[in-house]
Amino acid sequence: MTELSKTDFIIQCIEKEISSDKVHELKEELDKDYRYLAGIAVSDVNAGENSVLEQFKIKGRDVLPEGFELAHIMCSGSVSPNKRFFSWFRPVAVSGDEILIRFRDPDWAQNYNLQIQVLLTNNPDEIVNVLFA
Amino acid sequence: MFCLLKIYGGIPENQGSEAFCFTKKGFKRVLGAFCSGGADLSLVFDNGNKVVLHGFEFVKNSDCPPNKRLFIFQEPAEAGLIYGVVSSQTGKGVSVYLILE
Repeated sequence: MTELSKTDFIIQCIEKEISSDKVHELKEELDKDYRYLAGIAVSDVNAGENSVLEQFKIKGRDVLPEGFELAHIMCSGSVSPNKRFFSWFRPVAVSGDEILIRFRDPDWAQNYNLQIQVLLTNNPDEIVNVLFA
Repeated sequence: MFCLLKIYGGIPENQGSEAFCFTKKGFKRVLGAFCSGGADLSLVFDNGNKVVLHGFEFVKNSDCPPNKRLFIFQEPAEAGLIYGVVSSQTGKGVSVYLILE
């Protein structure tokens, strides 16, 4: 069982208003106090189920494969908060680096606010035990 | 630690069904697979000798935690070619992913 004292993490929210079915770019600097990105979550409230993450990059390197369907990450409010993160990728070493996300919703019908949550931690091995529990 | 790899992406052409094969060096094991919701996936390892998935349907389900939506197994990553067949009648693009260690 992972001790909570070892699960040093924060959840950083990256937001953008989606105003068309074209590609939207989200850019933000990650919190420099945390050294790894270990999870990604998106609520299914707004974005269409055919939405795509055209790119999800940090320091020019792909975190997720290009054209990754958002449906693989999205989950409903009925999923408990600590289980909403997708973390089947190698934790990415970060240090205040900029994250670049290119997002497209082909079924866009009206403006909405897209919120992508990234889980940052200093203890990737410990936090993985929580995310996969 | 894991690596997420896309091994197929496209609209299955032959009446909604398409075969593919894949090999990758530098990994010890394949730990799981998943594909787009509504598609059926077959995967055969060990140069066609070991069927791991046969027409397994992946459904869309946002009530299931994202980390629990894949089919989990363990197969050596360097034991020859991995063959697959993906089928979908939706007419939309389908992607297949492997989790490698």
